[in-house]
Amino acid sequence: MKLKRITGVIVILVMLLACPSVAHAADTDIAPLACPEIGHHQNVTNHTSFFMAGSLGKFWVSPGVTYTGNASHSTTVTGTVYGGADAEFLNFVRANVAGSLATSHTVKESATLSWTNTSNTTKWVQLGVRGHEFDYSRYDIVAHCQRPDLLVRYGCRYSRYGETGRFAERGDV
Amino acid sequence: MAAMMVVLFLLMLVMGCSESESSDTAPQVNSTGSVSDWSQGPTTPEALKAYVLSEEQPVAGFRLGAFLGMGEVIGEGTISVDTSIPLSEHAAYSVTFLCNPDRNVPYSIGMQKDGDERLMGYEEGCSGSLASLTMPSALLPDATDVVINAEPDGQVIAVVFEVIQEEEQ
Repeated sequence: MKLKRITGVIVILVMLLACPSVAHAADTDIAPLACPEIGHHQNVTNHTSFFMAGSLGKFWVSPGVTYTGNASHSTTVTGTVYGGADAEFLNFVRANVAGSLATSHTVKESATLSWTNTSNTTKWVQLGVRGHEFDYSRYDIVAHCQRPDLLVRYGCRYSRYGETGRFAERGDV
Repeated sequence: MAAMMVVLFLLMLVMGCSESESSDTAPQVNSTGSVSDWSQGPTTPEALKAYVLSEEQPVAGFRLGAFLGMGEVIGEGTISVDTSIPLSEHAAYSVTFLCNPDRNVPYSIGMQKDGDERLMGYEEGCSGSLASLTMPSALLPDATDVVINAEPDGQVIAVVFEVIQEEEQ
């Protein structure tokens, strides 16, 4: 009897350590599903976008003046991806973040790029691209843990592959 | 027997809920650029004028009007504007310019009349690429010069045209 009680405590502790994300799951017959279905999963979190400047300097434009690029400026903007970017990663983020996402883009002004400073203060223009920063993770759910006595799913086994980085999107800014 | 079952259950539990680790590293952004328009494009005022005239629409939303002047400045200087040509009320000055990237210095471009200068734009360094600045003539009517400051030894060529908003046609 004493052995069973101790064992019970150990089981709970082990589960807390091994599956922290589901440690709060209710200990009832109708506990919420705590992990995705078995299979392959990917997701993107903490996504933000920002301006990624090229190497060319800023051009400051006075109020009322129009700046026109004459299809000759070009610059390459390169993002950095920790862990590399394979085809699966690029396919997923292009479908879920931005279709033209890449780790590097050479951007070139178009002949029609023209911008008028309609404000009352001097503003700058600079060749660059829209950048994206996010965390990417990939994992496989290979099994669900179960407590046989309650028939409640408590967690899952998974392997994960994560990337964090900055990425460039093609397009005028 | 019961103890073995418990140990076996624990082993299954630990193996079943394990997770491989991922790590994070601070992201970095690297930018590189290359422009070679100075070496490939027009490097004389005459060639720059011919280039502008060959363009169907050098400035979006405007059509090309009268040619007003051209020149080259090293360091600081001015380019005369032809004031004998009457500009339409809604015309604008359009200065198309190109600097020599081998002399990579910041430079500014403006227009002046009787010592009254109006700055049009300023680039932080010479990219060596063609660009234009267009300013309504109403902001400085009857301007007499384009003023370029590329001190100490920057080299800039420029042409200035009248351009007219297409709505006027």
